[in-house]
Amino acid sequence: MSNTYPSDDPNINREDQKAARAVQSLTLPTLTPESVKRIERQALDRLRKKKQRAFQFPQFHSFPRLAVALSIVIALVLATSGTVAASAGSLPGEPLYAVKRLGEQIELNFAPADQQAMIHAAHAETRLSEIEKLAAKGVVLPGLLVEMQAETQAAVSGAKTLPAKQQTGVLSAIVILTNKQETALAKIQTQLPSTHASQSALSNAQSNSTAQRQEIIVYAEKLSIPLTAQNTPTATATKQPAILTATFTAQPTATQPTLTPTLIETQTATATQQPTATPRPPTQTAVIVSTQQSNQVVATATSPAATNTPPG
Amino acid sequence: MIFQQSDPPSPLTLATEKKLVAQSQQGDQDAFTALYRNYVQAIYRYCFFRVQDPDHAEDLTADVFLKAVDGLSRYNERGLPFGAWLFRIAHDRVVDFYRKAGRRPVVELTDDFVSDDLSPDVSIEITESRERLYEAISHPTDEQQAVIQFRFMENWSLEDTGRMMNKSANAIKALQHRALQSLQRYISQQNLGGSDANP
Repeated sequence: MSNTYPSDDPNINREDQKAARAVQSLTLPTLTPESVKRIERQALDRLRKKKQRAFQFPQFHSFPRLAVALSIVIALVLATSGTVAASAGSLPGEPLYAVKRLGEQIELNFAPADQQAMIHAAHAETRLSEIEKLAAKGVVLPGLLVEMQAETQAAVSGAKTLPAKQQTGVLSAIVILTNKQETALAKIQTQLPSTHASQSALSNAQSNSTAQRQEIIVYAEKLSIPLTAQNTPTATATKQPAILTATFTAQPTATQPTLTPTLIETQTATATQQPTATPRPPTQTAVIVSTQQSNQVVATATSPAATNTPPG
Repeated sequence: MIFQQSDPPSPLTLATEKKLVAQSQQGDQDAFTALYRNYVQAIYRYCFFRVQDPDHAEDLTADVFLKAVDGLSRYNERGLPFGAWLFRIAHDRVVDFYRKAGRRPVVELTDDFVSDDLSPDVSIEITESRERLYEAISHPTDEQQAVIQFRFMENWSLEDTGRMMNKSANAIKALQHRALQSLQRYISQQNLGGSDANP
């Protein structure tokens, strides 16, 4: 770009060119790349949530009270009739699937704010389970992959807004979840013909899972959140461990009517605590235990941040 | 905030924008990102020259795009650029900002506002009157400010500026003339110690 305004611009009178040049000569205020990225993330996050809501449930922005009232009525009707329980194992395309999704939305609507991230993670786990079941029949729904990623991203975003004390468990769970997504999607890819139309969508979904996990890891490192989901094989007991156990099960069966994630925080005061004259810095280690049985994922992390350990 | 010479925005044709908007309305993140990146700096500058505070301008810019996402499903193209809608949102946010703030904040201008690679005469001229110039830019009417920004900071053509402001190219040319005259009078007034009277 030239620094001075072209003097031969026919659209500028000669008398106006001095002012035009003056304006053009100014170095303009510009958003930093970091700020551009930050706002972009906020906007895309909003877009993602909007799409998710649109898919799952009718919009009631103008009638929030109506939405709540309807949710209560529908929840009561469905719960008493056992429809939600019966719909738990349903898959996209089946008659009760809409009921299942409605149940999820109601669950989300009524959950306290600090549990929303974990519920999103549980819903992402449910989507993964559905993807695996459909893949076993040779069917891959790209929309379901997108929804799984959207739920995961909502969990990531939600986890970042949690109080520090709760973050370790939820972030650990999401790391495990994204690991599991990658493994499952890679397996599905190998089961399908290499020319299958959904191979590309599966690859993209895998990449997104990796990116979401990386986002969590970077975030945890930046804020010194004691989370190591990077396959740390051992854990060192701290002086006063607080064990955060995040468990969510997402294997819809007829006998498992709800998909309620639980975040159990157990603070164990040990009798073996031995104060020493020279306080040691907290050991920031954690162990992630992932059991593949019954699709159950257990994240266990020691959290020195939750202890009263003096800073080193 | 950083300061740099303005780069011309990568132009998006109305047809391309229409397609990107339709995809964004379906939740396509790549499409929305393309629209966002095409307009984010212009929206920021629009806010900056009106609130004259980089942090507030950044907050308002974020607010504009979040409002845009919220209203995306109700957006109708109507033959105007997507940016016209964004600037309308920005205008409303700025009005809302002043309603809440109660008064106009004052910006402290620094040498950072003037580029280093100017020709000597222009550089001296601008250095001497840079504060007044920035004040001058925020002095004209809202439409005149917009024309100054779109034409001489974003480097949009008369036609593109006209589309953005829903006016004809001739109307923009007339508006531009009035805006530059107002600006010139203001600069002259300052240089001449106020001997040149009101616009």
